[in-house]
Amino acid sequence: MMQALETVVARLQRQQGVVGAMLVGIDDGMVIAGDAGPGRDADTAAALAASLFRRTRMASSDAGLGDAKFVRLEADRGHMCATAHGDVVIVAVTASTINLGKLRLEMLSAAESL
Amino acid sequence: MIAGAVSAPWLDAPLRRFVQDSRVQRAIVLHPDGKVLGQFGFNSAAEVMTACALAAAINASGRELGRQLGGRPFLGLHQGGRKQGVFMGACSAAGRECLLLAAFDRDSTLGLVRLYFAEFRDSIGGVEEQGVEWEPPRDLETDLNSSLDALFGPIN
Repeated sequence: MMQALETVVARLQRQQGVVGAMLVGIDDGMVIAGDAGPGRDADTAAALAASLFRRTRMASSDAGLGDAKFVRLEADRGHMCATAHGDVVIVAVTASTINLGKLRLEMLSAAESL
Repeated sequence: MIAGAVSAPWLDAPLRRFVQDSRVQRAIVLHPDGKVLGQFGFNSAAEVMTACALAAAINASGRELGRQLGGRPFLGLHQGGRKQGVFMGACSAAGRECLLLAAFDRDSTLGLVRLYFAEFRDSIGGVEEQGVEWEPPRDLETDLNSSLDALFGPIN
């Protein structure tokens, strides 16, 4: 099981522009596998990313849009993308220059493979 | 704005910030011997008294267990439930050890509570000894009653 999770993380980390990839528990916001990239605190990123994903999903549901599938946060120096499968949130921290369309497909595919 | 927070003056702002950021339902800061320093979300002195007594006992048990298992006491504890979780962590203020006990529901997560507990710990860790009035230790019951009186007023 753990090896499968590590494989998903490694697959995302190989994408050009991805600086960190993590699997995070949606209920506890704790890191299951991976990291947020060099110089970033994985525990902090995981807790905040899981919280963001949960809240976005609630907002989406409350707005009558159904379940949120993919969340992208655009910041000054990059993006944070998240998707989920079951109890696991897949989080990618990326550079601004990344091909977001390709990353989105990779992350949704990774979620399916979990 | 957080209502229902009652604390020692040096603890008030850090505890309010912790509660607001981590979105916990209840939080209590106490000495390891059970003496309460501040609380948020509790409605009565009896609730606080119970929480303090249990937290002090859990802390003592956890520390001893840590010592026996690994030679070092545990510094934190988490009890996860389906709808609610409890977190307890050790910190220090003005050179004295304190415990923070927080209860949270699905509005928060263990990761968030740990994250903001670290900020809380750093915040009260910088409190100078001059800013804190520690009462000399007495027996457990007297300590507990005096701190409950300070937080909720004397029980008539």
